[in-house]
Amino acid sequence: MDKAYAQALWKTIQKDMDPKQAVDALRGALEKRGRLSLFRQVGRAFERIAAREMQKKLSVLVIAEKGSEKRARQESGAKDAELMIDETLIGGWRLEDKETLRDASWKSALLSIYNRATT
Amino acid sequence: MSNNTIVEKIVKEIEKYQPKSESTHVGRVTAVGDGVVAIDGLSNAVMSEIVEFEESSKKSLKESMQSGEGALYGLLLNLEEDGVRAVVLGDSARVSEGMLVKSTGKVLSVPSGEELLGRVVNALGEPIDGKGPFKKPTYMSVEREAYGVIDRKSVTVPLQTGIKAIDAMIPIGRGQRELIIGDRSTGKTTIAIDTIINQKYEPEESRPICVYIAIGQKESKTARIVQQLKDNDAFSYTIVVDAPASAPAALQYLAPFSGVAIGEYFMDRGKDVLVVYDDLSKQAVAYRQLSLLLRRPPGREAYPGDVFYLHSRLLERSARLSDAKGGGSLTALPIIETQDGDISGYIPTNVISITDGQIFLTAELYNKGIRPAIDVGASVSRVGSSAQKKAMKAVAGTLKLELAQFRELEAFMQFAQDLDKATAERIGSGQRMVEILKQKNGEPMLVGRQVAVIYAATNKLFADVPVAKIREAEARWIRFLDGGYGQKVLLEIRNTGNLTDETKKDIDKAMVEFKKVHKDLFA
Repeated sequence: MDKAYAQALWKTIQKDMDPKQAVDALRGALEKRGRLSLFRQVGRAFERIAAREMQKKLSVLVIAEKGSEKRARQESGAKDAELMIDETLIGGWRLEDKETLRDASWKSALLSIYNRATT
Repeated sequence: MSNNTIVEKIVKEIEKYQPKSESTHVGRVTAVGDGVVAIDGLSNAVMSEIVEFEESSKKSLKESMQSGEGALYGLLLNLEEDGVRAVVLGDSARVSEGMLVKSTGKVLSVPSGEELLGRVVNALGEPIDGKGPFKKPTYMSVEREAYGVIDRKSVTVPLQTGIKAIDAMIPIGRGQRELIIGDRSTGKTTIAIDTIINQKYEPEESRPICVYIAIGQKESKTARIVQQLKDNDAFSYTIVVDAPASAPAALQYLAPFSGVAIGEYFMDRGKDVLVVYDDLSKQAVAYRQLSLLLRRPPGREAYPGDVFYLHSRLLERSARLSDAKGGGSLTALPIIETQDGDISGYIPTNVISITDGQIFLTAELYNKGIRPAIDVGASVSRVGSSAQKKAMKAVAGTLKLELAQFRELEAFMQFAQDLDKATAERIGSGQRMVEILKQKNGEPMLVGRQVAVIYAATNKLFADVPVAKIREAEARWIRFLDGGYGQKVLLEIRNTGNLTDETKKDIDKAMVEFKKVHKDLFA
């Protein structure tokens, strides 16, 4: 139930309603229905939705070592993407942009070679 | 494959490696439990699409290679406003929150082809018999629209089960859907397996390819069935699809669709196929479990609203194709387990209404020793009679009616003290016929022999044989015919499918001879 309220609140705010006004309206509606105890849970669910939506908008470039940043940015064309280091990639880069993944890491290339050779 | 070969292959691959980055549509796991995964993202995904869980992220290359469990896939079953829900086609313990999920752009398909014959596969078509992977399979879509009216033709070719009671009274045609329904332990699977075994007597060019789909069964039972098929030389033309009770509900739900897709490969190439679904009640239960976990609204008995469609879209894929489409056929023998003989349950009535007839087995007859325990009154074949061989039709035309009358008289007999001669004779004749129709499991009978036995029974050959000796008399009659006297008759019935006046005369002569030779049988 808390998720449904949080979802509704998120959509209302996305439709350009003033956030304070939207939260007050939700609080009023919950109070009227005697479900004010849900308010905190709705808040937490809203936080999760917001974090997820922010993540969706975020562009993340993952590289194996700091030294390869310039090359990775050049090859991927992700100039403004947030940078992350993941040593398990071995080399190359991975770009997560909204719902798209571009994987040019050495780990994935080696894994696919290994899988082709063993199956 | 030896380690050196693998190393050589990997070295070669690395030498010709060209760096590239392919773009993939992805989502992230937000919740996982009971084999169902909620995924955020994948907004371009389509229904029934296969997605791949990326298990290698955060793991080192070595760890990823050492897992050795193969890729983990999921099947999208719910497309929702703020994400999608999928069922895991494997061990859901391997999925964790935040895991990346890749779209494959493919709907689920299973391998099929001649190399699957004599093999055991799981619901995803992967071999589980330890005989290695398939070399060049053709992939068939698991969900496919059934053939339309124009592409079909009437059912006219018989599918011999080798079971006297069925071939005589509830005949099945190639392309038909005949339900086998009854309580637990009443011989449902036995009928299906005997039918598969009986196909070995068919000429190779017209022998149906058999697909046995075990849904929610014990592994020991499936292993026993596979062994039985092997022992009877029936495994070479059979494919077993196994989704045991220990498999996730998603695989039990998918198994019948995978099995029919494997069968369709052969049907599309003009061959006849027999598919046994053992059993669809367990598939319905698995589907109910999935639907509830996917938060679909429950309906009657907590089954989802589309449980009828689940079975109708599966069984509609059985067909006899027109000559323009190659003339192949796919016969379905779905099995449904009833509770305490109640055929008015939700799933039984659904499947009864979908199929072209049913073979109803009762625990009462089974416990009386009448096997197969077919309740003739409640069993019917709606299209099979047009596919029945003329010879069988000629001898068994009135059999069903006679047996039904006998059942009524049998009930009356319990109350009556003295019976008139005509009634007593009719009861005696009915009792003998019931004995004649008894058959041991794993011993299907050729159609020529069936006709000869039923002809002899309906023409009073066994009228003077005590009921207790009927089985022996039948066995001797078959041996007598096999022993040379009736060879010509049996062959003619088998080859032409007809019972001419001349053949009838030959059987009559054989009956006279038989009585002379086996005087001890006749009291």
